[in-house]
Amino acid sequence: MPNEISENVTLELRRGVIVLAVLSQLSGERYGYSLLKSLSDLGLEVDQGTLYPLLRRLESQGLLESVWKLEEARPRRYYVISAQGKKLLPRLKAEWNSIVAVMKKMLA
Amino acid sequence: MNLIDRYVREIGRRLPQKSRADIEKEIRSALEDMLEDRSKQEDRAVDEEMTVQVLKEYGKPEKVAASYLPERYLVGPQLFPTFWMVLRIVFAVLSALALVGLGINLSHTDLSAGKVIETLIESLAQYLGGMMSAFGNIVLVFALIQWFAPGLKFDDKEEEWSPRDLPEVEESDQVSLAGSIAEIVLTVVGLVIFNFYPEIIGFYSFTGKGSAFLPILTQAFFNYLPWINLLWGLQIGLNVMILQQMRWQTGTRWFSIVVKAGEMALAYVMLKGPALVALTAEKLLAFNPDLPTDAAQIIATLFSQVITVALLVVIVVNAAEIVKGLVKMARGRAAPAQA
Repeated sequence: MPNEISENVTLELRRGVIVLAVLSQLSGERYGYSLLKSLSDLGLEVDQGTLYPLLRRLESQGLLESVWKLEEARPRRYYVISAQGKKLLPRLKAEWNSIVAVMKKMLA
Repeated sequence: MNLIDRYVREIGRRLPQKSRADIEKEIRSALEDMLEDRSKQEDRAVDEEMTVQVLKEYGKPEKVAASYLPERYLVGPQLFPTFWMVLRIVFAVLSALALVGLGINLSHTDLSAGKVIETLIESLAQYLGGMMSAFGNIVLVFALIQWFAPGLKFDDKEEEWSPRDLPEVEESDQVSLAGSIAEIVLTVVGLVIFNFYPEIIGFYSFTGKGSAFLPILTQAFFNYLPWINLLWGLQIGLNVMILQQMRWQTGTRWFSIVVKAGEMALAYVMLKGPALVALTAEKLLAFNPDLPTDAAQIIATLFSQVITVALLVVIVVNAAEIVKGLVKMARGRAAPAQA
């Protein structure tokens, strides 16, 4: 299989997971780059081109809130999960667990 | 202006005014975070080389800008099938009309090679111009629909949809065996009579002195014979093909449309051209002096009108058949039937 197809399929597979990963890591305020590093440290590599637009989209959907803060003479946008996001998160986790259980059976 | 300013500005000019400043600010902040992190990792001050590296990792400005924008379409995926169907129908109708127009133009020119080529080139230029214009107008209309009603769902009839409403594929594409054979036989008989036995189309009178013959059709009719032969020959070829395949397919439907458009063009030219019926009341009376004058007039008018009506019927029926074929193709029912 050509590499490009393999990469595209992998990317598609991971795309949906990133929303859950991001929501799960934003119980406290974080700015974009620190979230990126945190996800990377946990083993989920996400590139900036995916993460920053995603954060904006989740904010426009009301799942995140953001605020600009001035730190070390540099403005940073901090994101945190909103009340609506907090309601959604347990449902997403349950859905994820169910998918994992099904896929485990399927791929066993 | 440093590299980061240039980079951020390049992204910003591709973004909508409303969100531009905010996104630029965030990208700038993210780049500075990346550079700070890189500087710590490599234990050296930020320099141009490091900036270049970080910017390359962040991605091309157009790609980064695109990631912030929703997918934009002139004609979106929901409208596209309808757009495509309309485009195909309009193009096919234009093609058929162009063929008819070409036939008419050719009928008005003397058939010298130079004139024919000139007419062909003119018709082709008109055809291409018409196609471009139609394409532009259709795109414009759909782009306006997309712009003003982006959520419009042409095919969203899920609530009323029932599998029982699906059209019968077999009935639509299946070929009538008897119909095709009858059409071949009648066409061959017609061709044989017109080409080899034209003298049987008329009235005979046998008297003690010998026989007299009054032809129904004029020489003008027989001047069209090469075109009739060509079109009917193609019709026979088409019938043979669909008999082999036993169902309509995209290729045969197109073939049929071309033949029908040709027949329409020829019928139009014959209608507009010189008289096709040789019968007149005077000739009938001269042929048979016992015939009442009224009856002779009625017979002459009847034959003339029958030919006119027959040609009009050819035009109308063929136009209807062309539209029917186009609609069937547009619904994509011809191709799946091959499976």
